[in-house]
Amino acid sequence: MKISKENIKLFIPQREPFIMIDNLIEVSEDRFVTDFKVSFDNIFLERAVLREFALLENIAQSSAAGLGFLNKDLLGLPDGFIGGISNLVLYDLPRVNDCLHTVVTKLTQLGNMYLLKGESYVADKKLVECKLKLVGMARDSNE
Amino acid sequence: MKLTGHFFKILNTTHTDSKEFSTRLALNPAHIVYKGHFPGYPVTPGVIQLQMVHELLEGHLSKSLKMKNMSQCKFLKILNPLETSAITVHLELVEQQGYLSVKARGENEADTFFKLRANYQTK
Repeated sequence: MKISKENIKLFIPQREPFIMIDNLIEVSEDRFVTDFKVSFDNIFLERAVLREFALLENIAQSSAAGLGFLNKDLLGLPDGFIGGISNLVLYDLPRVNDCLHTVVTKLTQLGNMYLLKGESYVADKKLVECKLKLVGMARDSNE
Repeated sequence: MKLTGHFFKILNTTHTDSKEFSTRLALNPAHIVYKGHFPGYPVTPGVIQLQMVHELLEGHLSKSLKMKNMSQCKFLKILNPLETSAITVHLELVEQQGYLSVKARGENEADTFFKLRANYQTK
């Protein structure tokens, strides 16, 4: 365990009710693994099924947490936003109480722009895969 | 969570033809999504912009859809509802064998906030 659910807010800018990861389980330079239990009060639930939008946000926040952990010694952790999503394929959606495992692989980095691949699973079943472009953003420059 | 009528309100819709339409919508900066994204600094999440497109399509077709795949979407500019209170979403639909191919973009005046190409299936 690298970052537990209790401390995840130190590493991602999102707050309730928009936090879509629990724990950051593994981190290496180019691979991050998170988990996320689909809670009954998740805002993206519809008839006990978690919508695809939450899966994409889960991949983005898994990426942000991994990058945040790797850069934790830098002062003033930047916020980030999704610059783009490509090659997205949806296979299935999780249900309430399912535990999602998400694996993010860093493909390339250009300055504060990261291209990552995200895949989410419940047990061994893959639900979604996509490529994600994340852009780090210094908050001051946008205010 | 349904966004239509809560996160955004439809102001008007212009149909070019049955395969193309534009909807002007107003964002609700007081919505609970903005409480967490981000506190004191509301930014419309990219995935919420995707859900807005999804619900506009469902409303247009009067049926439930699920996304099958998305070849690409780009989020080009931060959409802060306090700075941009309304946007126009343009949608183009092409019926393919067994699925619906969609191009969408969201803009306001000279600003383009997102562009996407995705395929949807009837639920």
